[in-house]
Amino acid sequence: MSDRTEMLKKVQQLNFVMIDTGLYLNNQPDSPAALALFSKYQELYRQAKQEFEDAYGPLCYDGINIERDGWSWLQSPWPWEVED
Amino acid sequence: MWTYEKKLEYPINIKNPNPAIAKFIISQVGGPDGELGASQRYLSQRYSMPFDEPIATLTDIGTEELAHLEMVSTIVHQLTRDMTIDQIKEAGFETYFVDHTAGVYPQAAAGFPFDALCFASKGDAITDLVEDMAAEQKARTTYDNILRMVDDPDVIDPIRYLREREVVHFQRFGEALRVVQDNLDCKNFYAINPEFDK
Repeated sequence: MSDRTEMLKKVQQLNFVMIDTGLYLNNQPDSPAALALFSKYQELYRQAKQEFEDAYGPLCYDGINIERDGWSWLQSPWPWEVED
Repeated sequence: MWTYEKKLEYPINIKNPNPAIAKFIISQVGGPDGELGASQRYLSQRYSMPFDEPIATLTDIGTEELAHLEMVSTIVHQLTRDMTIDQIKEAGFETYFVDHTAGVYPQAAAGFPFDALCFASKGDAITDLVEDMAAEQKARTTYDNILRMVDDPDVIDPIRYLREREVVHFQRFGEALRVVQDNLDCKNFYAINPEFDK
C-alpha cells in the first residue's frame, strides 16, 4: 500500500467515526459518550485531512491552495481509479 | 446543497477485472433495492417529514447512500476495465456491453433500467420510516446474495462493508420511528398523519 493510500485510509477511518457517530446522535442527541466521541474524532479528522491535503492535494474545494498549487483539483487520482 | 469529497467512503482496489460478477453487482447501482433508489428515497422523504430527528436521519443516511452509489459504481467500473471482446463474450456481458460499453448505467441485474417507482415517498411519517427500514433489509439481503456468488476478496471486502451499513441504517431508522411515535397519540398512532394534519 502506497504512503498516499495509507494516509487516505486514516482520513477515511476518522471520517467514518464522525459519520457513524453523527447518525447515532441524530436520534440520541444528549448521549454524553457519543458527543465526546464525535468531538474527539472531529478534531483528529481535521488534522489528518489537513496533513493529507498538504501532502497529496485537495479532497474538497476548501482544501485547494491556489497560491501554492494553482488548480490542483485535476492532479490527484479520482476515487474510482485502481491503485497500481 | 452538497459538496464533493474526492475520496471513497471506504477503499476499493480490485486487481482482477471480472465482468461476469459486474453483471449482477450492477443491481446495487440501479436495481429495485440499489443505492440510487435508496439515496433518492430518503432525500425526497425529508421535506414533509415532521420533527428534527427523522429529518436529520433521512438527510445524513441519504447522503451516505450517495457515497455508497459511488462505491458500487466503482466496483462495477473496476470489474469492467480493460476487457477484451473475448472476455466480454465468455462472461455473458454482451447484453450490457452492446448498450453501455464499459460505462456505468443504473439498471437491475435482470437488465431493466432504474425505475423511480422503487423510491417510495408516501408523505406519511410512519409509512415512510417503515418503508425505509424494509428498504435497508432488502438491500442487506441483496448484499448477502451477492456475497454468496463472489469469491474475490477485493470485492468481498467492500461489499461486506456496504452490507454492514444496511444493518446500521436499519437501526437508525428504527430509532427515528420511535421518536416520531413518541410525538404522536400513544393510544392511536394513526389518528393523524403528522405530515398533513395539523
